[in-house]
Amino acid sequence: MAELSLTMPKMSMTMEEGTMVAWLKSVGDPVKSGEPVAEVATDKVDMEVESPYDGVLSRIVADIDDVIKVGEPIGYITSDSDDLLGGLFDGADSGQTPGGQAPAAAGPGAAGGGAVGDGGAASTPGQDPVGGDGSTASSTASDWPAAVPLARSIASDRGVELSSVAPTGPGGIIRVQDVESAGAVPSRAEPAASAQPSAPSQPSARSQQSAPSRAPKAAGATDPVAARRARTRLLVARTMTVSASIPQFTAYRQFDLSVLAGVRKSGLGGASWTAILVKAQAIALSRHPELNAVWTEDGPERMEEIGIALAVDSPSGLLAPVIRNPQSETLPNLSAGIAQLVDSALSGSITAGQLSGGTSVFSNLGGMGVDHFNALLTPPHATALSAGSVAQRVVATADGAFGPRLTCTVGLTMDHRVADGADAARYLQTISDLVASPDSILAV
Amino acid sequence: MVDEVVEGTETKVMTYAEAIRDALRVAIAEDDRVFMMGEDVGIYGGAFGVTGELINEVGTERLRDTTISELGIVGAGVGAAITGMRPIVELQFSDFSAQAMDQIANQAAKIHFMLGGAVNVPLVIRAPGGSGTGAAAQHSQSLETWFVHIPGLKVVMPATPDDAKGLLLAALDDPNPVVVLEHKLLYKTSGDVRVGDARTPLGVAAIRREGKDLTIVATGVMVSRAMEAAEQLAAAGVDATVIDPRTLKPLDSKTILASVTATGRVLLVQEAAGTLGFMSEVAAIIAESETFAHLRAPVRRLSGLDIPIPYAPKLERAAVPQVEDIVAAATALVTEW
Repeated sequence: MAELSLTMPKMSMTMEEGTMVAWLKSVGDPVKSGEPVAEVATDKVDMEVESPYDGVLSRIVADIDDVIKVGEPIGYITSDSDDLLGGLFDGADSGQTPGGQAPAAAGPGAAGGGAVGDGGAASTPGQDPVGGDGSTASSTASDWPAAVPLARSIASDRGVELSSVAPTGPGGIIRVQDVESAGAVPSRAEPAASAQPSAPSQPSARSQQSAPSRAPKAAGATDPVAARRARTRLLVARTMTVSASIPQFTAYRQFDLSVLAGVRKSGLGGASWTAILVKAQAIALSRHPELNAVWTEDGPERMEEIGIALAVDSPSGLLAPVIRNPQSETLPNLSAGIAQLVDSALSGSITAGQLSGGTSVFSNLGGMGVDHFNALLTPPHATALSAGSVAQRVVATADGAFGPRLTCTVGLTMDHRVADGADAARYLQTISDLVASPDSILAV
Repeated sequence: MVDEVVEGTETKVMTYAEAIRDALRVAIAEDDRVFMMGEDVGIYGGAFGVTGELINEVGTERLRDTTISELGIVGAGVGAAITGMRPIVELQFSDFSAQAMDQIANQAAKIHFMLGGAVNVPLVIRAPGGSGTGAAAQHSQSLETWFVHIPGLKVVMPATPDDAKGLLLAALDDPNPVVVLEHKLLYKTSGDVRVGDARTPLGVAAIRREGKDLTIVATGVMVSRAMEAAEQLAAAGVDATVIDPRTLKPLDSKTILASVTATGRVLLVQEAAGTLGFMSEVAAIIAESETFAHLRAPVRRLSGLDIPIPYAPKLERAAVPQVEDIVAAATALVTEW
């Protein structure tokens, strides 16, 4: 019998750490290989951690709300399998092979050309505008944001994630005041206590062990959904802060959907406007491949696959599940697929894999009465499409007549490093042509 | 500790040079073992007038003119010290310590240790350093780092008349060789000096001014420049603490660290060239301490340029930190961070 470590699994390409949500087993409980033992949360999803071996849960070292780095132990299982598996796990103990024994399948985050990670959260090397410290790897930059020492300790005391703080110091370094303005979130209890190396209720050895892997807890994490929301909030803040440093503009165009409306119920199988517009967006991207790209230090890099990250207002915050290659999907299938994806997002059952692979965003506030708006880019996407309401509006025609037409104003936000205004105009023209002739959208 | 001249203590306004002379007068009167020797310290009154007319009071036995040989002067001092005297030797310019370095580094600093503690070397070496007098590269250096780097030596840099006296008297009390680095520009500055036998303890820094926004650590002539800069900074709303370490070795790092912990920003000002200068050590001490976690800004040094001090007055001035440089560096530290 040997004690084998149960480690924080790597559930997506971009996952660096996870938050303990629940233990499904208690110390002393027998566990079977493949059986869920604990629940952990990443930036966007909650996942179960399965036991990699048969045995008994002998120790729990990660408490609820602890943030543990991928590959670090969250607990230990006493198992007979040590003879067979022996040295395999030494590496994991020392964090050398993070994810090497991840019980849950690693998310296929490499989809979409490999350069794009979690929809809405990804950044690629050379694409992280926050990294003013010239860090070479994005993971390093986000793990260890440049900050003056006092800013670091204040952030730690207050539970502020430095990676979500916008730096204003020289060289893109986080100053004390940056943390103070970002850290309006007060610590829940005894701010001094969180700065202590060991919590009084914990055996000190255990605290020592996990101390290096600990990160500030999400604020206000009283119930799971609220905690989830708080984590999502931090992620959106981080992503949008990065976005704010990208030179971006938005071009608007009003589309006449009257012809489409005529055939939507019959020829288009009652497809949702979202499905129709997402498909038009994807077809347009396939015809303007230079816009299906990410910006790198060497210039724009085209992505082979198209993935539309659909902004969903879920109970746990803004999620963006990705629809892969909608341009080659039939509308009824696409419509059903989108409905399923939205359901998953709303019910919290979305997986890390479903959040990765995006190359552009589709955001629709039309259903909530918004006429038009501009979504901000989700780095590293080069474009984002924002749809306003689909409604009857009075439109003047070329011959001077005017009358009601079913219209929708769409905003195309563009990374100006990747392309220019005229490129945006041509892309919108393509979408306009597509919605004007339903046949092309009907075709696969 | 801001005013090391405690209120109620009897003081007298005198120059830095007069304060040293007063210390010599006190020490010679109190202790038969004390005498001073050096080039032109007797009849001539010292190259910078430090001894003045003192020879008329104490006589040629206690104030001895020597040949022009720094090696000989310090060597004689080491011999006198280990045979029971309390000698003070004066080097006319600290630059000339290069001539005497074998006696300073290999003899004075080490004899106590090489002889198993059987003898002490209670030698005081006085030497003026610094630029600003148009004396050019061979007479204008700031060499404190040479001495600080030698285990077995203590090093003080008085920045005020009172410390010029108090540190010299404390150095005479110490059983180890102490290098007292004075500054040529300071000899004519005046201030309150405690009357009589008033010592400034070795190893205790002076907080010259207290402010919350940043800590300026300065040595030698840079202390008064830092004080002037602090006044200008105060007028602009920047509140600076100014710390004068006074003793470079052993350094009162506790006082420096406490202040930097409170302010989070530190500007280290020295006249000496920056590369491996004394302030590099202070920066390292801060970086290695718990104070590190309290830093709001990178540690900044303001040093002399890494060049021989130029003779041309404008270039000489530009080669070392001036008041406006301190103001600018401190302002940048506070506004950028």
